[in-house]
Amino acid sequence: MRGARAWRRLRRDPLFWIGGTLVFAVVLMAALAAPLSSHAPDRRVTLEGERAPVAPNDRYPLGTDENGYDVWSRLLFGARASLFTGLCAVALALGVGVPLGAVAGWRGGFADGLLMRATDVMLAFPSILLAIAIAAAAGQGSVWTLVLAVGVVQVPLFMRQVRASVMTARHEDWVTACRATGLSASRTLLRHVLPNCLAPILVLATLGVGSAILSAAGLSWLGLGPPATEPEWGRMLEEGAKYMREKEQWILVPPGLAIAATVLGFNLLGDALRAALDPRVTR
Amino acid sequence: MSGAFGYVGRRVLVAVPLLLVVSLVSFALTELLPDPSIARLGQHATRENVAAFRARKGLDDPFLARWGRFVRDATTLEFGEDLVRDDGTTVGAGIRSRFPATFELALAAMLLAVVLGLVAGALGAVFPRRLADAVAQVFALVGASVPVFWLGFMASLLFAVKLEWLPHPDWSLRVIAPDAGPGGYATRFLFLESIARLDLGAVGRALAHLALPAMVLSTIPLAVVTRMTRATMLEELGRDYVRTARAKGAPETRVVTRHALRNALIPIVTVTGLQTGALLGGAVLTETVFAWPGLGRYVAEAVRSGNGPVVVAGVFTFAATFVVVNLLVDIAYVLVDPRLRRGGAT
Repeated sequence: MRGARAWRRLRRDPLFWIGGTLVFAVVLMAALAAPLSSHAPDRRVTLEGERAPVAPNDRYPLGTDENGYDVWSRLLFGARASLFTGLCAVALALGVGVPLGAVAGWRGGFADGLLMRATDVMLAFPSILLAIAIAAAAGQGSVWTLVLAVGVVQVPLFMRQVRASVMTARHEDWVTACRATGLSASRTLLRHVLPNCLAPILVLATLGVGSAILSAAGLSWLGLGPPATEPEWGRMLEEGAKYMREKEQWILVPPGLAIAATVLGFNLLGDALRAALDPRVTR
Repeated sequence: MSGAFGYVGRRVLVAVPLLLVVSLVSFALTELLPDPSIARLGQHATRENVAAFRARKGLDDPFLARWGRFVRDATTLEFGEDLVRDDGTTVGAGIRSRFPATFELALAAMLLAVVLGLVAGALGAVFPRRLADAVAQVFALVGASVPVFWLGFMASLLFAVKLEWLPHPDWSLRVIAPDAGPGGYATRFLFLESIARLDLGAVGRALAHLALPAMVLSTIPLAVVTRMTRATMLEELGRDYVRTARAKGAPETRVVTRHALRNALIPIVTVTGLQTGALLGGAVLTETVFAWPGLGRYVAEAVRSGNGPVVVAGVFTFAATFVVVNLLVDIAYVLVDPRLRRGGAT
């Protein structure tokens, strides 16, 4: 079994464990946000007489921001927003990109040419810029704006990957055998060809979650994401930016570290998966 | 030679329709972005005022007619009137005055990434699985995972506030070349024009002000360039011609730099060209962090102020730059690789 061999390779890869730990930690933060948080994440929690921003102390583990919101609680709930955005964006890109790519690779001809020219055009735009334009066009900022903007720009990547894998598989003997036994084209594609193309899609999807989280943080930092009250890491950095030359510089550290660690986790996982699934990759 | 010209001609011919479609997609954003007449007249404008404004500026014309005007205006780099400022200036004037700052920043960042990436990647391939290799790979990966806007804050904190090694970037003629004379500079390419004028003081100041943003922006392509270099170099170093070179007694540094690296350059250059897109996108974020007077910040501000035409023209300019860069990369191969010059391979 290819899966078992891949798992053996994966198990010996330290980068897999580092990446896995980082991702697991973020998932824990998101899952246990409510019990772990010290305050409500989306309203003022400072007491009468406390001047926000409050430096970290017993009551506020990471201090508060200038509005008197607790940074630690916002960091925990921000993990939810980031994971949600990253996973939904990739689900969107998968949902659109995989069927289109499969059709292009399986049918070939005119449909293939048209779809591939469409990806050429989309890839001619710098992806963050396209995402910014989509988010600006979508109007009212929310987590869904981010999902849409960041998800759409990933569609061509999945289309190309799936098309390439399907095209390779299409001419192999076992596919001809499937057809010869009287299996319909769609059934061959869905039940036999696509499952064989899973490995590269899995790798691309894992890396995609990381880059989606990174881009979404950038959009949110530019003010295109959810409103400032909602806990979101990119937005927290935007709020903290004005303290760059003040003594409250520590406000800038936690959200940035959180984004970097999450994205690094997904990147490491994706790399490790690629190395384990593709025997040609040597490290 | 005719093969080379034929190849270049074909590439240019393919780029023209691509640019047209890119302009169509960019312009289609107009339909989705907020109405510029709202940004011009304010939220409380009466319906009649908005309708009159739209009719006067031709905003109600059929889509294809407006797109045609956009393409016509794009060829002269004017991009039509700035409807939000509505003072007779064109969108193109704003774009042209900001493009040089972005160009110089992107160029500096790309050069930095290519030099660092080539060195780190080649070292990693020559000494695979050693400490230097691991350090280079980890650095590249972490660099690719850290958000550039946060890295910008942190780098300014460290190098400009704490250590005071570098100035807070301020890309203006007043700072870079305070004694440029009454006429100032002829262009807005502050760095390149300082070099052309042989003004060493200005070149030094320009470098100091470029350093932080270029360093931060270079982390975007750095990881990919490093990995690509390492992977292709590993492959090339295992080939027969390398063994031949070693067998005839060529020194190892010569084998690596003259033989293997030269042959590895083509895929590396391709990937570098493709990374220009990510680099230009990253410029939007980097320029906003450092208040860099470039096209990226111009677009980001236009998004916030609801100036749709500027967003559209900015997005198109970025995409067109990316298409042209990749065209130039394709053409550069023909000049570098004699196999393509004969027109044999494509």
